[in-house]
Amino acid sequence: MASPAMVTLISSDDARFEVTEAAATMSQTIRHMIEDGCTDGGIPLPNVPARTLAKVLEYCNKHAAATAAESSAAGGAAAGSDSGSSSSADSAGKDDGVDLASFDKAFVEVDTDTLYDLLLAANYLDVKTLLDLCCQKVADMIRGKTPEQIRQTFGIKNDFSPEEEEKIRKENQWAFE
Amino acid sequence: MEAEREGAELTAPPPPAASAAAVSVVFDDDDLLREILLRLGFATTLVRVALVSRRWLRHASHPAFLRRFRRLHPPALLGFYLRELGAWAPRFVPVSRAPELATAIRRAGAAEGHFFISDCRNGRLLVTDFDPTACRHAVLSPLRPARGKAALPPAPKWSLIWFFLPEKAAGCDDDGAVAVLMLPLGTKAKLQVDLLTSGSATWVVRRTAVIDLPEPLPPIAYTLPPVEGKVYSLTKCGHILRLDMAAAESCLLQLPDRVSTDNFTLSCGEEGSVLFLIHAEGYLLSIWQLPMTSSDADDWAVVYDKVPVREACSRREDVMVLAVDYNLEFVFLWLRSSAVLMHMHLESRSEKVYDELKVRDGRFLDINPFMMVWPPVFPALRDDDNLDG
Repeated sequence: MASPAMVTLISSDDARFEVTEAAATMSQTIRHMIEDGCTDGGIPLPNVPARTLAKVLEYCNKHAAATAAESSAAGGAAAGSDSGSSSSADSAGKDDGVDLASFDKAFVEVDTDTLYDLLLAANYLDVKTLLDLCCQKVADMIRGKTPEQIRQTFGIKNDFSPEEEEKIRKENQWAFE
Repeated sequence: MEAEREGAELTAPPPPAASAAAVSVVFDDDDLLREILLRLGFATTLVRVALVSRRWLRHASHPAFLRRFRRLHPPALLGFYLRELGAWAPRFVPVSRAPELATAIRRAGAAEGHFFISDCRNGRLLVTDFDPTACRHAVLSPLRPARGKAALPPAPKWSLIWFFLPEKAAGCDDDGAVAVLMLPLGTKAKLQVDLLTSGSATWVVRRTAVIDLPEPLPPIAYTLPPVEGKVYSLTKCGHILRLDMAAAESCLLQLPDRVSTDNFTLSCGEEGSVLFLIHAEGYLLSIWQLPMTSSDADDWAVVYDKVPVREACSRREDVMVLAVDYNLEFVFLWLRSSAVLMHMHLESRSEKVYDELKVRDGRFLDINPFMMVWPPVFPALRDDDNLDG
């Protein structure tokens, strides 16, 4: 089996990471840089520190590997001749899905600073699924909070007058106790 | 597969300023804030979050944002109102278990009165009082108790009239209702169709059309809410009468070939662009759709084909289709031999059996699925113009 194409990424603090092209190109930003041929001597990522980049690459490696396994499983099932093989490939695919979902869930079980760093990196690197995952996690953190708790958590000033606040509450009674 | 690490940067703590700033970088970025708000999932959460600040309110109330939010999170089914034949009042049975909807569900359950429900839409109920002195129609908003009960003007005394809550584009106010009135004209194969809306004291004719019928008006079993001037009625002979007021045309639609019994129900869905037919045969459910623009029965397309109802299958019995919600997410069914109500969530195929409800006869059940309100109402605030940008 031929060894996969590798690329080198350089973090803002000059740490070098060598990863498969499949993992690196989960980032649209990096994909475009590779397509433009800017890979000589490594790809500089001046907005992402090593600590965050390492986490992002952990995510990309896992997902790229799962995608590769899925497509080879699908190829195997298509080539399979007996009727049993397709159902076993099916269940293997499902297990991968469950595995990936639990990986994602655990992946964002981090302190909030790390979560925000990841979110910003995912946004800059344009890794759509990771950005979705981080935004969903932040949304879940907001979900159970009162407006006042949200303001405190994120250091936001309340710029409504009491009358305005009351107006919004009144129009949407169904959302409040 | 491990990333190659060079240098000692990983062990050094990150500069503290970088991470502390990350919070404000995330929340100061309009695009990122929008992406986060978009994932809040429930209208209730969105409204609470809009109270954080003017900037958050501006994002939460932007029409394009609300359209995306609605696409990602269709209004949830809170539960359903259930009324048995002879009962004075419906009772509310919760379906959603989301804690975000607990308040709304409690409110829905608190709607009281002696009435039956003829339509249920966007958090409102169109009810008819069981009052022998006057058959009064009214609109209730259980989720907005401060609105109370809005009585409608006395209904026109015609036999071929059906009352509905307005579709969103109808342009009449929130506490109003609409009605479809059919008046067969002298020659019998001509029909006058009136669309009325409730004014403050009387019903007002908003639109009228005289339509030639393919045959004298057959007896009608029920009529669906009008959508953009199109009215669908199920005739007692098992055809669908389609009246198009704009084109002044009518046609009698055949049912899909496989539908040979009356064990089905029709629905226009929330978007109102297609007509759905939900049919049960034994323990199997099938659903067809027909574009509203079509008057050709050949255009029926299968959406769900022979979905087995597991509960009915394991009990070796048949199901009867009772009702469906506007989003076509939940189908309410009656297990004929067990005499038990159940529902199926179509997408996940999950089922719930309401053994505890002790309903006597499924043939005479009124079921009205009750959905969450959409959209939230965000009042315009002063200075909003200056804050744009």
